[in-house]
Amino acid sequence: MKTTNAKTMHPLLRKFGPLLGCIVFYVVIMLLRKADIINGYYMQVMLFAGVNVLMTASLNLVNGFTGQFCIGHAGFMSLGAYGAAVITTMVFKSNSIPEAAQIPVFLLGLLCGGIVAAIVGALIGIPSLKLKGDYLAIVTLAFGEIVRALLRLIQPIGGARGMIGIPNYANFFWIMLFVVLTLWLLRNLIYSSYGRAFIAIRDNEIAADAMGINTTKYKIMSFCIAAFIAGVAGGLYAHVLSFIQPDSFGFVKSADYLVYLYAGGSGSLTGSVVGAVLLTILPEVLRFLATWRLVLYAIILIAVMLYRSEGLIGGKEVPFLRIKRSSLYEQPLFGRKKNGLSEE
Amino acid sequence: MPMLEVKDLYVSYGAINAVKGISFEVRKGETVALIGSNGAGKSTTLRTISGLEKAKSGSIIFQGQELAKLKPYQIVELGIAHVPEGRRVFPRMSVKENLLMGANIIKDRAQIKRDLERVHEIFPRLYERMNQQAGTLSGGEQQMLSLGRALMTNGSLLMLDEPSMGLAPILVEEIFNIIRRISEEGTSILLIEQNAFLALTTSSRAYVLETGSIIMQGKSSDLLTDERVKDAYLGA
Repeated sequence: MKTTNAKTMHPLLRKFGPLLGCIVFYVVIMLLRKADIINGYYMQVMLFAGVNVLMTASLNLVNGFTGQFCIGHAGFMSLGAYGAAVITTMVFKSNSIPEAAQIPVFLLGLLCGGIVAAIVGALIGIPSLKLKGDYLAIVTLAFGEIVRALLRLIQPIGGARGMIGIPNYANFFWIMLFVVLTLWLLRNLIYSSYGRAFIAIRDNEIAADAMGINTTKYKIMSFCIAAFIAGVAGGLYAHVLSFIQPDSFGFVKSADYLVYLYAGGSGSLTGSVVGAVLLTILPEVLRFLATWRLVLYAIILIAVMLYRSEGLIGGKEVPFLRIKRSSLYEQPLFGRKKNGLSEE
Repeated sequence: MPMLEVKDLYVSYGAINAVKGISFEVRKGETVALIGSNGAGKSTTLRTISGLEKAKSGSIIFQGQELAKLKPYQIVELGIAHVPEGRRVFPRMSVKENLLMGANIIKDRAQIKRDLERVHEIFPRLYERMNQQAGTLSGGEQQMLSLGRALMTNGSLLMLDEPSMGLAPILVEEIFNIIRRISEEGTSILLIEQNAFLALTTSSRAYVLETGSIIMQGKSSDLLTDERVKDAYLGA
């Protein structure tokens, strides 16, 4: 439990250490890229790994921390991808955007993608999360397929052929920025009073009800935040690949994220990062095995489930993704946060 | 005027009528027991009062307010603390976090502190294990924690669902001493219990439920000596 190394660190270093680490990591990657040790292909894999971290971490908020079961997460991703791509490619006509306006348009696109996903998340979350039980799983399963089918029918955005010519604005900087930002936000959310409520619902929804927690409200909140992040991740994905089509956001993709989540360890942000990064890279590393690749991939997953059923990092966090729990005991869980509960 | 008044309450799960038109009341400061065998509708009644189940018809009035249309969290805010059946603690939170979860509707920190001290005093055992994970407590300790957590909501009516379930006799005795003490401190209690002897010796009045209806009611001391109760529930 105790984090000896984080404890002995200088307070300033502890506070800004992670930030410093991120900057160093970024610079190192950029230097390696320049020296061409990391080629374009490696870079592409890393960008996808980043997108997958966003998807897995947001799924973790719903499945891992709130104890609900969303199995159509790629549906939100596709909404975000199309939402963002429509803004950058169709509303602003990507090839005629002046250099200076590219980034704001890109960010606007991501924001719109996230908002679209969050609104749809609210629309399907409100009726299904009012109920207790696994209704959300059924509804999100159907939702993922419905979104895919609808996107195939809408001709102005390419229909089944998909959308091409999306500017590839999402470089390593943006992906990394969003990953760091999201993990930081999720960590703070999980350790806030909201996070306590999420975890209470996961651990025992009836007891949470009996404690006066508005379980419906918190479940919907958690679901919408996750949908928003998935939407942003989808927007980034579209701007990495420059091309999206409805069929790349099918059930298989949703299942991939469930695999990343549970292999990494649900209920652990560290687990989401590890699961998503490892399992994004693994199929690429195994590429030399050609068709045997999927067999080995499956065997590795089975081994993880057999020997570490709680996931690779189940239930644990690295120090930077964790807030010292003892400090939590000194604060009221709900209400204002400032002074400690016990003044002595 | 009674504190809690249940009138002609019907609750059903689909086609099965679990509670068929029961009426009872709890007055201020009183301990009332609902006794009866498995499937008599006791838990359903409590769950309906705290909003976890929806009533089919009938009314539940708590301190002049109708509860039937309210959500569980709103009912807790009105002052009904429910200790659900089977020790539902939050296993991965510490004992203290569990207790503070109970205080989540209370915004006054001085009040939370007073309540915590009261819980410490009533349950010295919990105090010793304040930073331990709740899931690692023994069954009796978990029951104490779930009682203590309900006390933290600072409600004026405490509803207990089978506090003796699955506990060793000595712990049952300890839990019931605590319940008596909470009652003496002025909290009204609605108690559900299969152990009719314990329930009747702890409460002042009692209702006997059978397949969803109240078949007998009266002072607990009278019921304790009643032949029919003796035959059916006390097994004398």
